[in-house]
Amino acid sequence: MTIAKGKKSARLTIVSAIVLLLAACGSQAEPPTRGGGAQPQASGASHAGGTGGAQQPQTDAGASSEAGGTQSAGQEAKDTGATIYLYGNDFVDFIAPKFMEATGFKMEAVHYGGGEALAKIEAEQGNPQWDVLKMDGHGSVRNLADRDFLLTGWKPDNLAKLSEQGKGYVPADLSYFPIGIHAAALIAYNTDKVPADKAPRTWEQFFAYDGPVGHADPAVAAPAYPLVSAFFERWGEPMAQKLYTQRFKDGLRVYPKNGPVGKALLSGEIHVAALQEHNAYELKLAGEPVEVVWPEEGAPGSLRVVAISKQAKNPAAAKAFVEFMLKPETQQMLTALDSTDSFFTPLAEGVSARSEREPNGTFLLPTAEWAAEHEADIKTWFADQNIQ
Amino acid sequence: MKASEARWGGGVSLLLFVFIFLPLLAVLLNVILPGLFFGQVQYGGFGLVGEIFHRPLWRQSFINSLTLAAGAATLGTVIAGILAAVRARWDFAAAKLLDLAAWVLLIAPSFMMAQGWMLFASKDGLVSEWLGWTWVSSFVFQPAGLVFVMALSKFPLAYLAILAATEWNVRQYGHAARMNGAGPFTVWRTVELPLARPSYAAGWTLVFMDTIGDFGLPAALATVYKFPTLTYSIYSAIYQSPVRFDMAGVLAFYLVLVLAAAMGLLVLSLRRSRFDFLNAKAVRTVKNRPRHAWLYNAAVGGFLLICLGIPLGTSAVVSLLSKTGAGLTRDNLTLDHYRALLAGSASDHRLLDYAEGMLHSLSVAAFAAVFSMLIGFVSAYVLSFTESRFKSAIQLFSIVSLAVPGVVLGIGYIFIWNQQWLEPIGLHLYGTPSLLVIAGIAGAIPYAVRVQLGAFGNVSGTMLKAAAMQGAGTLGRMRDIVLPLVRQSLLLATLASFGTSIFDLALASMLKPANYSLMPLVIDRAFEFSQYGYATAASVVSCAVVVLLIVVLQLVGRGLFLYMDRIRIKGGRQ
Amino acid sequence: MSALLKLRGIAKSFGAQQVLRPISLEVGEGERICILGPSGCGKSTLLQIVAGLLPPDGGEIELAGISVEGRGRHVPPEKRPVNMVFQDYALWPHMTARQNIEYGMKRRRTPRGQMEERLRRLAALLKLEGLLDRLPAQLSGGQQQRVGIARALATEPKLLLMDEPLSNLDVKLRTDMRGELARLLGELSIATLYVTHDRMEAFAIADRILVLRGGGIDQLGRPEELFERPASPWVAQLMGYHNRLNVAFDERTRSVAVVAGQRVSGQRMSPGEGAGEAAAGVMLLHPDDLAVCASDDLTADGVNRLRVTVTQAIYEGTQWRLIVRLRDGQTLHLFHGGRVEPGSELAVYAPPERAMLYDAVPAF
Repeated sequence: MTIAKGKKSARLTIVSAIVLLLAACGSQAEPPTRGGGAQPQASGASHAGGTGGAQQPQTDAGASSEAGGTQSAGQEAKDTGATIYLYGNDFVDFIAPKFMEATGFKMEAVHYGGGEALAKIEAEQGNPQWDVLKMDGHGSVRNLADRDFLLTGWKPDNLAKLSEQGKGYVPADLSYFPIGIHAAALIAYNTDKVPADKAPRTWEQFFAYDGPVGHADPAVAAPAYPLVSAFFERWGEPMAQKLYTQRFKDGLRVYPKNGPVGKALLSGEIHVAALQEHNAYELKLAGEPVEVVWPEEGAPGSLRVVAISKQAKNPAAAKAFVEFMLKPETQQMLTALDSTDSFFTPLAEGVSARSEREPNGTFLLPTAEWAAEHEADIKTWFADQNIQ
Repeated sequence: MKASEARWGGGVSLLLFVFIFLPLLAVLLNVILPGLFFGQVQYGGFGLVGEIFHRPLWRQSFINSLTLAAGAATLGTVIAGILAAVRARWDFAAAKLLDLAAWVLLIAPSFMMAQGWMLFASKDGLVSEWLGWTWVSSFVFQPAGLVFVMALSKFPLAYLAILAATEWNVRQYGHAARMNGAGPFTVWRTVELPLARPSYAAGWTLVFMDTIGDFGLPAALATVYKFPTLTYSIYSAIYQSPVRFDMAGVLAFYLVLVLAAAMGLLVLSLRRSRFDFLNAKAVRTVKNRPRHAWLYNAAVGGFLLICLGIPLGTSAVVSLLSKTGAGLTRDNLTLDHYRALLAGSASDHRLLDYAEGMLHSLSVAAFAAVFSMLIGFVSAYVLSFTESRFKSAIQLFSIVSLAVPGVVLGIGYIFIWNQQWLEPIGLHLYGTPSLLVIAGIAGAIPYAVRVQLGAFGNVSGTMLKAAAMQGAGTLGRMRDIVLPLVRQSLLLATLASFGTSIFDLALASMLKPANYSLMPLVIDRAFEFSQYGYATAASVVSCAVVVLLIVVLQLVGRGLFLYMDRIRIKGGRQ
Repeated sequence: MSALLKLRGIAKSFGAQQVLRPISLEVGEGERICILGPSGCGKSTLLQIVAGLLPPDGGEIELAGISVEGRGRHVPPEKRPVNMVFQDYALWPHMTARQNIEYGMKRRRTPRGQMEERLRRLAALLKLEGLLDRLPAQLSGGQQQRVGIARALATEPKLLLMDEPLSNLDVKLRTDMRGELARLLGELSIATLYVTHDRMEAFAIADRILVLRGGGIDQLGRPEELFERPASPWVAQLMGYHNRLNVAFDERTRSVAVVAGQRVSGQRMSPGEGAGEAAAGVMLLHPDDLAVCASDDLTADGVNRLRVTVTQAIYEGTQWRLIVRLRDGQTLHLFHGGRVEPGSELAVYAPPERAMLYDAVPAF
């Protein structure tokens, strides 16, 4: 029965080849898997509408300490030697090599816009691929903390180096750390379309402007939720909804991100935009017919924070990254960058911001808890309004 | 013989089940047991199913998808009918061009076509900047305009279906009608049209299914015009905040429902055509030169200029312009975008690395093509030459994938392959390129199976029985008898599935591993960030590379076959 | 009786092949002409040209006094007063028999009442009662053919074209239908152009038979003319003169042929300018006309008597077919009442008025 044997072995070879190939491909791009079958499942309920408050924290303290990283302050974290993954939007490509150079830890930076990063984190909750997060929007990060995604209770040494303003933004459970704040939106208008005297100078005027206006989509762009939530908090939900409904009727165009908003402003598709500060200044400094107004009552603030995943693969490296970001030297490096990404207010003490910015601009910033609580509601309501 | 055949049949069925059917099941299960795949078993009831009608965004997506698909199908079928009627009857120069254009449109990825249209018709697009025709923009960016654009891209499906039926006609029916006093138009209306009705129904359904499952147009449209569709809403439910996997699953469920209904319609209409009249007298219609040939040439040429020339031409032109708005002047022409492609962009996160992305896409597509061809070969073999009890299962699975759009498949894959328990056995494929390969296989299987079934039809079963009498096992029969006879069509099938899977934006978007660049994503991302020069240059280069590869591989394959034949004859290996 | 159809110089080629050499023909009112010939000789092409489905390369056509083809004019088929019955019926599969038949009348906007009346008449004439609401797929071959005929008659055409209408039926049905059709056409008295390859059909139906060969007319005449005086070997073969012998001609007498050393007198059919040309030719004989001579006739004067050896005797039920060989090796077929032992020698008589002589022609 040599034929049968031959055929059998041939079939076996093919099947094993497929399996091996799959496994090989599998191990290539995948970060080294963690061990531990006793790993706690992160609260796996996918987000069903309603409040984003604490869902079902299922982990118990004992298991989480096993997951790597200690919770008591001051204890040395273990360096497992693994590469950590940073999910972030701005600066990520710049900061990762600097970090590796400064500390010797290995880091791989993945660029995700704010909405994308949150979605990825959500999708991976059964098996997170990320270790550190740096994004705009303390509300969203508060949300993650409430659902037990983040490492809490660790106090970095460099926390002392924050300015008074910065210290005011640090949460009690130490689940995330603020490193900078910038204007999620300033009033930017096209000088060819809008004479200076007609240009809106307050947010009420912006909403009342007679002509097409636009801003970014809170579902997609990280700074856009702070923008919208600032209004909702300032005016209260019913009033804000009324204003927005009217504004949609009068002509409000929503773009996925701030880049397209700027483009639309230039092309005249919209006359006035609630544009993120570095996009707005970029256009102005490039000589485009755009003028920027920092409203008196304040610009919606977007707090940029760093946070560590509860299941970080290399806690020492992750903590080192946080320390690194809190250092005044690092923040000075960032504000000195040539690109308009450097337009933000650093929260480390003694670091100077870009001179072209409004030096005394105030911010409209809801508390993290308020922002977290209303996040899903506001985003959902907004998306539904947007389709009319 | 039976036992080994059963093993092959069973093996392939299992693979098809895991690759194609299981993800679909996952999506459907998720509707009533949301969170099941995240480790949470809770019976959600059917309440979730109704929620689609409570949220305006989902509701609007559903309505938009339906109207877009139905409109595009209807308009596309009308266009296709006219073109097919003209093509089948008359012989004119532009006819060959029409056939070629139909195939190009079929193969061209829909996101590229959509991008071309956006660049052409948007407020600061080519036509308003260069010609000042702002009416084009207001026409295109409203539901009717989108239907128009979709119909122009998707009509070839209907065209080929109707043409196939119209070309093989029984000439006598038309002659008899004319003898009875019917002018040419009346002949078409009363005789040819009713007889071709099944093919019209088939064409309509194909366009409908393809449009409603389409992800490329909504993706390209998203930055320019707010038109939520089912496919894009499924994607954004997962990739935008707040994330709703359960709703994504429900939307996918609805999409599958609509598609199943459409498929049912298709099967029903085919079955109801009782006129099996394609008898021996059916001949390819003899095409005469029409009296005003130039008119036909002009009309068809003009039409092709619009449906192909606009999207492709715009893309090509924009890739060479430094500033889109500045017009077609000599100092506005530049090769910078092409240079940027090949230079590789390290720091600008808006521009993903094209070279790397292309390499990844090519390898993923290559693996997917080869494996799908293998699986298709075995499936087709089992279907054609064995009495395996898995036959109906294989048939079902290979057809299901046709109706399931990439977005839905993507969700299913996320559900299934991100499971904790898969890690110890090394099958935790979520976030790895292998999942892309598997998804590519799933997408290519229907075509692989169909094409090979067709080729196998020419192989007589008795040949295989003779081989079995001589002692050849199943593998031997496959390798020595069937393979040499069908290798040409096998090669074509592989190349075809390679060509289509390399451009799949939906799957690439849903399943891409972190920091893993893929060509469709490079193009889509660049477009999203308004880097139009980069996006179009990437499109042009990708198409050129793929076409070149396919042509070269085909020639190489043919050469290889000839060489193998010569060896066999010389060496007398058999 | 004026000519209903006039063809003048109709020619047609497909590429390099000339299918119809210039042909001229006239069909009178109520006259039935059968175009006889094997496939490929251009008869269907001729029909299609008359119908208007195919344009000729040259020539003119006149129908009922109106020019429909030629000199720049081309009247399309739907406007000609003709209708056609097809070889494979060509009934529209998605319409019932009734709808098939009514189609032409609808196109002419015949009033409803008249339509019904005509339908009823045709149904009776062609025995289609009770079948009118069936689809073609539900009808037998013969029934479909009758529906096809009814459909062609429903428009009351001045000229009826029939393209091998019976060749798709089985033998028995064909024979039955042949008679029916002849009777029907006789009753209706419509001018008809009928194409067939079956000579029995032609005999049954035709007033005149037209034989086409290689695109040209070999003979046009009444059936008796063709049978008794076939104008060419080709026609003769069509008429059943299956015995073909190569012969030499007597120099002095035009109508005497010499074959295998024996003299046979017959009908010299070629025109010939005079005696003394064409020394060789062919002789065609009908198997039914040959007879075995009585044994004592062997030594009689030998005119039109051929000495042969029997090579094969085949039983055919009512008679025996004898295949015999002449002294020079050529074969003949003839019939006999009884069996003759192969190898025996016989004398065979060929009546002079039934022996057709032609000049040598290239083999066809």
